Amino acid sequence: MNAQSEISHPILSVRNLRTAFETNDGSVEAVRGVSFDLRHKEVLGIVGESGSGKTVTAMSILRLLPPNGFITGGEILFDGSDLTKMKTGSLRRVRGDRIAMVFQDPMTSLNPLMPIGGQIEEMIREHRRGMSASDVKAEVLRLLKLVSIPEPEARYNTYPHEFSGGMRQRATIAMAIACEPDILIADEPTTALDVTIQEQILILLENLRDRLAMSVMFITHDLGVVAELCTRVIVMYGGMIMEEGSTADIFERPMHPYTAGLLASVPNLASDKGQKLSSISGSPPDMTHPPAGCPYSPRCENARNLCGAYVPPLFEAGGERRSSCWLLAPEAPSGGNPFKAGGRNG
Amino acid sequence: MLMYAIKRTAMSILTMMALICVTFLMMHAIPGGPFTSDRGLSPAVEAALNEKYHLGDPVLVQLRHYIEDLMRGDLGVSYQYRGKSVNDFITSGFPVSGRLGCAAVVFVLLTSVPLGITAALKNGRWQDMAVMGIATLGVTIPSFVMATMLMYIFSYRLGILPTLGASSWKGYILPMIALGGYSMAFLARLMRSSLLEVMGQDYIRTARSKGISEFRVVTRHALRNALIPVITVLGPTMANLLTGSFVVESIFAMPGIGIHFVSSISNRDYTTIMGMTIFYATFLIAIVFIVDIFYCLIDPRIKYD
Amino acid sequence: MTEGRGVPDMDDPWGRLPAYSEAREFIGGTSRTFALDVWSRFRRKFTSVLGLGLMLIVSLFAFFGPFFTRFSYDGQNLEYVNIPPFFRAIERNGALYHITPGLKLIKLRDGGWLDGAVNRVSTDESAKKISFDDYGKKLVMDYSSRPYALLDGEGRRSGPTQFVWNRTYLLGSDSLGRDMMARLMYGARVSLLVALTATLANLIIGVFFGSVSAYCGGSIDAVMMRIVDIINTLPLTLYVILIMVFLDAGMTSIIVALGTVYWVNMARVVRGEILSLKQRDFVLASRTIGSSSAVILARHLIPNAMGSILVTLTMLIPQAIFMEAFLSFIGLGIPAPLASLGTMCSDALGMLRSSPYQLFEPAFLICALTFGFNFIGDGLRDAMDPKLRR
Repeated sequence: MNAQSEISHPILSVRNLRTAFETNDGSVEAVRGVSFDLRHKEVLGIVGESGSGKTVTAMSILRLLPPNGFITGGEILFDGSDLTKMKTGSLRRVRGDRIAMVFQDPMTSLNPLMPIGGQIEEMIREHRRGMSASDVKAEVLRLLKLVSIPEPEARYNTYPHEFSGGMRQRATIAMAIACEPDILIADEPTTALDVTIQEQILILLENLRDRLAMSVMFITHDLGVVAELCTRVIVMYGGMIMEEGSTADIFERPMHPYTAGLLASVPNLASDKGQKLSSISGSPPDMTHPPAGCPYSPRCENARNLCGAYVPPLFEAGGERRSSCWLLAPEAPSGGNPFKAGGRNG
Repeated sequence: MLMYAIKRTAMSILTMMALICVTFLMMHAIPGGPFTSDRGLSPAVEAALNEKYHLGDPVLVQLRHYIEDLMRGDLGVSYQYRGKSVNDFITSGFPVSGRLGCAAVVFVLLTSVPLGITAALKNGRWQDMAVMGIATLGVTIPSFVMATMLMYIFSYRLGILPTLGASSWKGYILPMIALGGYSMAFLARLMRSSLLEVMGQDYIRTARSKGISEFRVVTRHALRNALIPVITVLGPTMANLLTGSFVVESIFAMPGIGIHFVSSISNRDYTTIMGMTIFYATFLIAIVFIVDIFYCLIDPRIKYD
Repeated sequence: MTEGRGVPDMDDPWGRLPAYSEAREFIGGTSRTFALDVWSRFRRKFTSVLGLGLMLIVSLFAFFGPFFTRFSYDGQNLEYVNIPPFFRAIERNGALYHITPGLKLIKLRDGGWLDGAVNRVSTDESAKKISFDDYGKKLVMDYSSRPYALLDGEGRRSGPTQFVWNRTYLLGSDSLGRDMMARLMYGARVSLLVALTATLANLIIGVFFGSVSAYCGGSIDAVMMRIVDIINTLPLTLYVILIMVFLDAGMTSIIVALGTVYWVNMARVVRGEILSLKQRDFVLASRTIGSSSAVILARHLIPNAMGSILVTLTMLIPQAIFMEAFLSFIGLGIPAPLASLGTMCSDALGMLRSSPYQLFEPAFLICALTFGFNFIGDGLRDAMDPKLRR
């Protein structure tokens, strides 16, 4: 595990981002005021259940939202400019070249009618104008080799349906790193794959990060993957950040009931055999009618009346840690408070 | 691919044989039809028929002879007009029908695909509404109504275009629109919904994430995928265009195959009906076959299906 | 606190919120039956409602209209041939006259009622003049140039001036002096009946074929689907024409021809639905309690596939209306004096230049019906699409 915690200048700053979708039942806010920084060469994990807003946050960064999705507020600062207000032409020069993405489902994220080589080539041609055709092809072959696709020459002209899921994901990764981006956003890149393939893809991503000195935003619902790969973690729920901190801190000592619940529901080989696996009761909030207060309050075992009425701010919880739980407020009583009495959650 | 082609060929031949047999036996069973004894025809026609269709032999032998004739490209003789063969009708009518059919196919493709694309890319805006309005009109108006309306408006009222076609290129305009109207509307709707669906696919998002321009996203990634459903219905659509020409040809009095077919129906010229049906069917089945093979070439995935 | 549905007691901000229960969660929406659900979504779309409205209006016109008209569909009046529903009348000696395309002079009374043809006295072909005698008043029709005019005894000329609605034949009369409206009602009824019966026949054949094929599976399914493939490559228009030639024109033959051709699509839809439904637990459950295949099909599978069957059905009706009109138009349809909308269009074709209303009226009804059914089909499909359901 990589536990470096050098404090450096952020490469990407998301400030108070809000994203909404227009639906038949009115406007639905999927991201409700999210702020975070992505630092140089770090792997930032964004964790949450489906519907927590993590994917929408990622899509908002490159403005790849579906036609009914809109960024309604906040800013995304990258390289001195705000991506939310950037002109399409300038944004296109950021997409792929500076910030690249790997998507969740390799079965659907490649064009079925275009050979793999052509799809990677397209990325290079777009951002490295004037490169000769043979150079481009050589570069694609180098990339295919880099992501360990066997026989790249033979694979160059094959179509996505002739690849296995793992191979396709390697191809999309090759495409994403083709222009050596500053930031790689990986949206659940391993979710749709078999466990053994997942492991290979993770190792590949980690190698590439070291080799190309990228910052990686890794979106997942899998805490195991986070523990393996990420230096820092953001936990999201109901379109908001619940907790933020270094991976080690968060796994060691969660400072939010939701994180604690998530961790308790992960099977752990090291834990006592007799211990029962717990789960979080209830279901994620219906975002058309989000709860008035903390989004997690309807499911929280420690919820107070305050939690049901007001959204908590992000409280500093020592060091780099921030948590959005009223129990961390200075006024919060310490009686029965897992975060105040110094007591561990368990 | 090869397997698919062989399978499709076998299927087409099977269909053709079934059609020929059914047609032949049906015509045989018609009371007062050409193959019954009490016909009351002129001796000359009678003799020609007897010689042509071997009427003295058992039915199945007649069928065999008929199929043998078909293999040689001989579609039979007319039952109503002495000395005329079905081949004569076809050779005289084919140039007109062929030109009309080609014009209609070109018209349909050149209008429906761009209209569908415009509607999809301007989804929800006035362009979309306009295209969908035209398309809805197109699929609800029968071709003969469209033909007569066009004739009334453009020939009688405005006097811009000739009423009766085939004498100059202008004469082909109204028949072409009347013939292609339905298919154009249908394909425009299909193109729109198909492109809308493709534009929501993950690989379009991937393409956008590469930073390529929206124009290239549409032309390089979306269009080809969106055209696939359009190509799959192209065969039946062309068949539709060609059979629709019966009516349009007779309304605009164009001397094509269709007009012979319609008049042979009203004259109860059974042998001509039979020959023409088989000719049309062969033609249509061939078109559908060609389009299906073309579709295979466009979509690489089909090889494995 | 149970009534408060999670409304927190802010007098005690740090007091515990009630434990997880329904009280904390907002339960949105009420449960409705599937049919009501579909209806409420169907209703929301303007075009669906428009389609339903069109269909209802035409049906009412076709089935209840005949009670409100004194004309029958085949009653001829050769005096009143080809009189349009509205026209410009000529005023002469205080009376109104109308000149028909057949150069008859019709007298009008009470602003639009037809009051008989005026007696013709003599015709001067070279001067293109016809003399009439209206009970002692001499009138001369001049048809040498359009618009046709009337001259009185002194040669004073008067052309058509006054716009008049035809009160006798509200929608005009046809080339045999039959009331267009009565014929339209009749024609629409025939077209609707043919379309509905043919669709019903297709439904029965298609559902039977599709469900048996899907339920039996294996080689039976393979053979049955091969048959469907063959029929699918057949040009259906040709097939229908062949059947019609074979059976000879008439209502029954049309129904037979249309009813036996278009079931292929239905069979495919039903087969697809049932193949996916077959895997569900309730079928297994039914089988474990010993239900027979027929019972499972009839009780469980077909009712569950009803949604897609209904959509396919509404799309089939306009197709049948189209085809019936097409056949009638090429002379294979309903024989005279019976009328369908297609035969009416076909009859009107020869008089398109002089009496275009005779074509427009049945054409409009055909379009209204196909519009209606297409919109209903679209609306139903959208309303039943589970992807749109929230």
